[in-house]
Amino acid sequence: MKKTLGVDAFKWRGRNCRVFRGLIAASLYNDLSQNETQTLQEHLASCPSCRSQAAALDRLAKFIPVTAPALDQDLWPAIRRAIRRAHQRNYGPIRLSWAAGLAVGLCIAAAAAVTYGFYRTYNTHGDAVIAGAALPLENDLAAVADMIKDHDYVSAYRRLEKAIEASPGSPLAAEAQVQLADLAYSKLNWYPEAYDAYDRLVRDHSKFCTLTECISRHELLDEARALDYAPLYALDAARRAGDNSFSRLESVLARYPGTLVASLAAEDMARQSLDKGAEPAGETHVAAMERAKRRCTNPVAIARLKLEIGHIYMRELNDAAMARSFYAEVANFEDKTLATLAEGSLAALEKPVLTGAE
Amino acid sequence: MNLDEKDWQSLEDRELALALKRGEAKAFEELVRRHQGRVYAVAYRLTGNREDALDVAQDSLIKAYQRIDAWQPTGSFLPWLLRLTTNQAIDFLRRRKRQRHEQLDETFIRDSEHAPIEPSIMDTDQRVRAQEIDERVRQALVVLSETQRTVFVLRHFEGLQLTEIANELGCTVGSVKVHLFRALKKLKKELGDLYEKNPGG
Repeated sequence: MKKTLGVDAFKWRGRNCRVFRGLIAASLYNDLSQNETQTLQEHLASCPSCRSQAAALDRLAKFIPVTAPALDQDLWPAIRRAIRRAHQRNYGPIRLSWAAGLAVGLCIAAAAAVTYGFYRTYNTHGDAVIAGAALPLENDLAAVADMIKDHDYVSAYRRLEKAIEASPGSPLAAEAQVQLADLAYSKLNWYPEAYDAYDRLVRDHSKFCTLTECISRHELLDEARALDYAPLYALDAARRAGDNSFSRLESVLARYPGTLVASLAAEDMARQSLDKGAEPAGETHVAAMERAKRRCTNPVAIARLKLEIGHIYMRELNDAAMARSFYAEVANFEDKTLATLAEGSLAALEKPVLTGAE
Repeated sequence: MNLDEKDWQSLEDRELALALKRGEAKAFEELVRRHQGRVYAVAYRLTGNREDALDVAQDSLIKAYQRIDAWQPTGSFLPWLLRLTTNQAIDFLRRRKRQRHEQLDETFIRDSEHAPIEPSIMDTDQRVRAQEIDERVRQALVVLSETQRTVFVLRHFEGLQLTEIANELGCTVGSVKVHLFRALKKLKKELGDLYEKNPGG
């Protein structure tokens, strides 16, 4: 499953730091165990970027006022009246419950008929399926896997969508939801559907969302949503543009500075400039970015890549001096979004160490 | 159970909720009196005005009464109640947004003929400033996903423990922490201009 969900771009950036995000948040509210506090302190001592992030979030948490708006009346009398009215309605017509019983009975009969038909269909396909033995969704997932093999992604999506709705609470629900979200995102590029699918995954199956791809994609889609997913569609078009791909990626980078999509485009450009077979780590990564930068003609794209190179120096190579020089160049850049980001990174380099919440 | 006012007041939330499950209406009265302030506070933070907050608070408490069977005695009562309130408020906001969209079509032409409303006159009064901040925070909360919003409201404003929230949402403490982090990160983006200008608030 990991393989199909892989987004290389996210693996490159601050992979190890992701583990500490939750701890940073919890530390702001003094909600950490002693062990966790120690682990976090050790990490913060050695990681300027998490340190500055923690300091910034700490300022935010202290800034948002917690004083509660006061209630100036007793709600009980109105609530008591409302409950009484509801009781009177419910105890009124007895015939209603008969009707309800009949309706429920009909529903059960209908569901049974549908299920029976469903198994019959399946048994004609494969004799391995024993009626009653398969979990809800199990057959669907198998059928969907076949459709994906045949590149029939639309049918696969529709089938899964229906199946998930029909089997709430199935032990396979989370797996099906991951599959659905991935289909929408990476196979069909249906971003609004993908957003909904990842949002539901994050909400209903949060255990599965420890997969960083889920959270990264949810974050990415959430951001692109504000622009009606235009950045993602542009990125797709650029990736598919063959020989023109590099220059198209460059314009995506320039058009959406400071977004997660721009980071993906930057990584793609770096990958296109990478020596064949080279592992994109540390110095090789910087070299590929530098090569991508040299091929760029658009000033915004160049500035954006400089910022990325600064981040790599900071996060992967622990070279604050080099990072500072790259950030400083971008901080003087005329595009305000990028200049602000660079100033933020510079400020993060200079800020004093945070020592936990008070 | 035949208890007078004082006896009800001495019971823990849990015992009251269990009594309510058994059908003791008096237990519910005590729960309402005890928690209506917090329910209202959550509703107010999400809806942003007194009238809507009163409606949402009242509906949430009625819903709690109707759905008490869904409350699991393995968890605490207050997190359950407050989560129900955030859901109720989110539904309310969604309905309000839809209604506004519908009204917009009718009023758009009429409104666009008028000059835009002047921004309220800024004065140095602390109260006005506080209201302004509250309003900005409320607008920023809308940007969060529903889970992020629930986690943030329950932790930041209501001071619930992360374990309580995790238990209530049926997920791990680890993922609650990540939701909280992401909520903070988004809020930082939304409110950065406000608090970076005014360090210390």
